[in-house]
Amino acid sequence: MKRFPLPALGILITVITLQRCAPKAELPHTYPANGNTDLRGDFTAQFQRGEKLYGLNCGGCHNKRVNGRTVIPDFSAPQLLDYEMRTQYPSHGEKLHDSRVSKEELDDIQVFLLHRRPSGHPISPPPVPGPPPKMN
Amino acid sequence: MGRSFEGADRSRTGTYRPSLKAMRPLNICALAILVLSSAAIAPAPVEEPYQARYAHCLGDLRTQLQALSVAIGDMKRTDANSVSSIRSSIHTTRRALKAFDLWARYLDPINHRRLNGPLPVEWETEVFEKYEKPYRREGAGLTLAELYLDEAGCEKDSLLRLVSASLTALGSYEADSVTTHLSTPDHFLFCNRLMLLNLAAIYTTGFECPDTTRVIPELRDMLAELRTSTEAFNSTFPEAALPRVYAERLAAAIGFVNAQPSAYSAFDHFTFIRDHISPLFGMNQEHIRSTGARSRSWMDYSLNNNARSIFAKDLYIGQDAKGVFRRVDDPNVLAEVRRLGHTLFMDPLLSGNNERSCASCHRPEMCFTDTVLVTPIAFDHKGSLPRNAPSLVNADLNHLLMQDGRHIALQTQAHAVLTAPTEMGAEPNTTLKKVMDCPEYRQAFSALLRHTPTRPEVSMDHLLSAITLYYSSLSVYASTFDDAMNHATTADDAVRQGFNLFMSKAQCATCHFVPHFNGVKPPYIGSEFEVIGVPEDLAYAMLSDDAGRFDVNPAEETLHAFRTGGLRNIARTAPYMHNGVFPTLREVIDLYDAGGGAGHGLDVANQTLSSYSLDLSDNDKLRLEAFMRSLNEDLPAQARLPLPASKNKELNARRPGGIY
Repeated sequence: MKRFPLPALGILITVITLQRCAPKAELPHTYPANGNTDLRGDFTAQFQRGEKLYGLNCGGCHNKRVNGRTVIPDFSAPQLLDYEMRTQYPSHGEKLHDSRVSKEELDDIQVFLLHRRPSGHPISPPPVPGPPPKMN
Repeated sequence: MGRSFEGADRSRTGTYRPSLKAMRPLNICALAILVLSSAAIAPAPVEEPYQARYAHCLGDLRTQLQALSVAIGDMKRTDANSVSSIRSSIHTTRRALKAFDLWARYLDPINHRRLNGPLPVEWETEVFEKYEKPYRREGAGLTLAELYLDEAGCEKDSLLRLVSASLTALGSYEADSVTTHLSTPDHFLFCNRLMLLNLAAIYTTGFECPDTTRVIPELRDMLAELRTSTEAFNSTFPEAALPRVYAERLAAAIGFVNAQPSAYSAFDHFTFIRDHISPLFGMNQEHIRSTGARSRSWMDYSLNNNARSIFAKDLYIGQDAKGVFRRVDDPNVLAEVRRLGHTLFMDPLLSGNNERSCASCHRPEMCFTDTVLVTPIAFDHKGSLPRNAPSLVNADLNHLLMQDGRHIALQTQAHAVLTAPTEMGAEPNTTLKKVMDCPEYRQAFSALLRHTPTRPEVSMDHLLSAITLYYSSLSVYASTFDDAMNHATTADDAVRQGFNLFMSKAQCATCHFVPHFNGVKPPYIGSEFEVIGVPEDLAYAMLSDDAGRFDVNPAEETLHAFRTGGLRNIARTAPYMHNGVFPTLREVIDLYDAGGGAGHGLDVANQTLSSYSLDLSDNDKLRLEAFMRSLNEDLPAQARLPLPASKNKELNARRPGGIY
């Protein structure tokens, strides 16, 4: 019986390790059950735009490190209302201002966050609106 | 996109609930003793001066409104004596309203319209409602009640309804969502900022005060009340208190107004704003920045915290001129986008026949409008377009775009003009291909793609965003009037007097609001539309048949209504009005002086302008013109950029700016 070549085993281990470390190419999503099938393509495009926009505008503060992996936390629908999102969290006043994230882009981000497969990591601590920061 | 929340997770809060079963009776007794003893020694809640002041002003307004309702209910008939007594009661109630306005207008702007709505019906969209269809909003409150008193056939029940609506609206100011703001200091600085802005733009013009003899007396009351409220704020929030120099300036403003004549036409609006209100506004802005105060209201999202005076060009954030490049901050990249936008603006490749560019109708040497043609030539050369081409300078300070307010974003507006068969007759895909067939454009836009990661390919949106960024970069220049208001220069007497007329007797400022003199009400709320009865020709033979806003939002009130235009650079942008009917500013002033189209004898059923004459003298008109000329901005001449060569040799004969 021919022996399994050692270099091939090395390559196999490297590939498996790299696969585990590499970020997932695309997060799976669920198409709304009552969604119009004609719009599936639009939905996917919007979802993918939302994913990129989330990474550009939100991930820097909201992503978590869990067991050495980057995880997008699960936001709830009430946390994703336009007006509240923009006004209730002090740092959002600038970061989510219409001149940085347009209304359409905010919609894309909402589609991404509401329809991606949950990571099982709720956002913590929940950003319940509290009083504004104490002034100097 | 409609928001859909099906299947969405509800947020769960992991609240720890101690089980009663697990508690031993002894522990419960201990707890009870603890609770009772702490209740016995806890001090009664002390209301701080600031919250007490809010409660006092709110309570006072409610008491006055209730008394007014009772007085109206007790009216036997609407004879002269009863009307006079009700009017006097309205005036007393207005004083209470003015004390509470500091909070009312900011904390709940929608309900403020029911306390003192300026119009019986409003249709238009506000900054945070831009994406919704306009809806009919019934106004109510003291201004409308007072105006209604003068109407023939004034009925008690209708009058009572206007006041009852105010009483109902007042309830919202006791809601937790509103009163929660009062426990921390930040909101006051934003309330105060809005108050100061409106002291310059609204309160001194008679916009919400039908009896113009009461404008200055009310201003005196309002400033005195503002001082008391500010003192209460400083006392409750010493760590956030406005500095002593602010209090001194406010006292000086009060002294100034008290020494001024009571007639608003004799009042020195120019000095009041330049020496008092604008510096107070600047100090409040500085205080917002230095304390890091945070707003919780979209009311503030249109105002720039870095603007140093009311007459700073960057006061409003305005339209999104950057479009797809909105997250780019690098000045070198933005300069490159602007350069490309400038080249595209002049490039006839963008039109269906390669003979017309944006600059064909918005000519850079004519302040980005066309001062020669009354209305632009149609794309097919057959006749002219129905409306005059507006200047693009300061277009990004508008809220809605086009004279009928058809568009909400600069990029969609540019796209519509580009593809309109009567204007530039372009087909988007063909246009994009023509542009990308020029190696220089292709290379330059491809290099910009790394700044638009959600859009991996060059699209029409990239081209349009470059164009809107280009022309919006012309909106940063100040006029001589701005310089005078900011103490950089002095203003001629004629300019000062012209401005004072503009703010009072000539009644211009009730629609052309300070500081940009357009129809955007501070703080960048909505676009006002007015029906003023513009004629078809100079002889006033008939009303212009253009339906205006009606085409976008059909309603009784919107027929022949047009968006109020801005007056910056107005002396350079003749001819005037939507149809370019008036060749000079004098004819425009004459239209208003005579009471609009109705004052000239035209049948304008829904005119929003009084049909009475303003009674302006020739000297008054000359001064108004002098003031309007001072709104010319210090615009730089535009460089001539060569057009990029195309792979299609036939297109290389095209002329910068097009041929018609």
